[in-house]
Amino acid sequence: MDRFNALLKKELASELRTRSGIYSTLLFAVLTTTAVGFTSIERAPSPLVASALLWLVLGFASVTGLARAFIVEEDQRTSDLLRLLSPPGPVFWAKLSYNFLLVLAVAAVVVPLHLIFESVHPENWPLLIVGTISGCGALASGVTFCGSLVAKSSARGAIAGVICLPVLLPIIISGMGAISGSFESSNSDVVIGAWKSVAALAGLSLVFAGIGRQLFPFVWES
Amino acid sequence: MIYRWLLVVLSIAATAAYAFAPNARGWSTAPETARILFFHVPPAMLCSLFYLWAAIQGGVHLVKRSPESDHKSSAAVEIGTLLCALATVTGSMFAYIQWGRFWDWDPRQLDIFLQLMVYAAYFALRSSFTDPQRRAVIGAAYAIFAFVTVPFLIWIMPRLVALSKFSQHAQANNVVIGNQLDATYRIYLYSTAFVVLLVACWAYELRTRQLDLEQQTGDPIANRVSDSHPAVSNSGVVRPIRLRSDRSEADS
Repeated sequence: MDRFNALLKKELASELRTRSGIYSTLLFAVLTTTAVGFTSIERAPSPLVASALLWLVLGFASVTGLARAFIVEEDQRTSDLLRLLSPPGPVFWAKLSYNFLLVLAVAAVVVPLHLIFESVHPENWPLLIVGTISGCGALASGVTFCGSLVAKSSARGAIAGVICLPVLLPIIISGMGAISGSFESSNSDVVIGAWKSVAALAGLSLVFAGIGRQLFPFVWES
Repeated sequence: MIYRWLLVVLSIAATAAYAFAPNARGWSTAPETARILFFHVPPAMLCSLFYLWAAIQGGVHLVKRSPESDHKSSAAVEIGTLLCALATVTGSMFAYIQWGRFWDWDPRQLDIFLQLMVYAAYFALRSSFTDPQRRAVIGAAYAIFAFVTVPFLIWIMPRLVALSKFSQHAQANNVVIGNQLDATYRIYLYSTAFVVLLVACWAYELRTRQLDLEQQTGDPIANRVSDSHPAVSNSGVVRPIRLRSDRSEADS
């Protein structure tokens, strides 16, 4: 636990020193939300389309920002030092926690902006909030492990998106169900279905994090 | 050898089944096209089996680090992806005939296509590593991680309300999965599935042997084929072939 705390502090301190990760990810997310907002110039999109667009923005922003976690270590040649200082478990959990905080920060900016641009009004706030947090957890755990896979690749910058996005597609689909349900609370079947999607997202977060944790030592020490 | 004879007999049986299968009852349009089931359903079912085998062999490789298990995992992903592509193409043809559109955002259609995307990334990932040992470990880890999405895509995603309301496939799926298929069709379908499985296993075995041979000689298979040809082997070209022990010494 001490190692995990120290590594998480190190992640946050190195991020706050340059702020390059949070700036680039946030700016990317805001720009994409603006571009996506053009779809509602003529009329507001349906709840399903609005939620699909939101998850598209969050998914792409995650790939841009979160996959950097391990790539930065390789670029700055600090990964060997990290390997010497700590076993793989705390490294994985620290990177995952940092990524989760980063994607939550991005979602905190993007979701309200998206609601304004798309002119959609949530009728079920708990569903929106829990769905977004579960989705962020799934995005963070999926991208953290995929980021560790590509970190030592010769074309890591280019390949990160190609590897992360297919794994994120099931998350985006479940997220669509969760968030679109929060826009139409009058239909109880839709709301129940949306909570099922939230459960699917939470399940994906746990499974991705669990499998990722088990496989990470092989990847980290390869 | 037994593979080949079994394959010949079963291929004849499958062709006969295709030719003599009666037109399907209860189909709104073109009942004779229901025979596409014989070529669409088996690849869709079997690709997941190959992905499961790839994940198992990936796990074996991570524990034992044997090149053979990496070859088995990699070959299983290749054959699984081929089957998945076949299921996607035949599924689109099926959708066009029945619903008038090649792509209908049907959850079943989408899940097989997403599987194809997830495993297409496997090849991109492997090709980005030049060190064979690291490539094998990363490939094995991804084969296991990617398989986590397969049960989700097959069983959970089609049942999510946001997508299931677009399902045009529900009735067709219930016919096959819910055992509502006509007895004649059921026999034909399972016999064709068995033929497809045999062909896929044969292709898998050949590919695994090819990868093993390439690993043992360190020479592309094409060079060895040309070496065996008298006109080429007498041309005076000498190709260096390293034995496995020499190479492992050199690597160490």
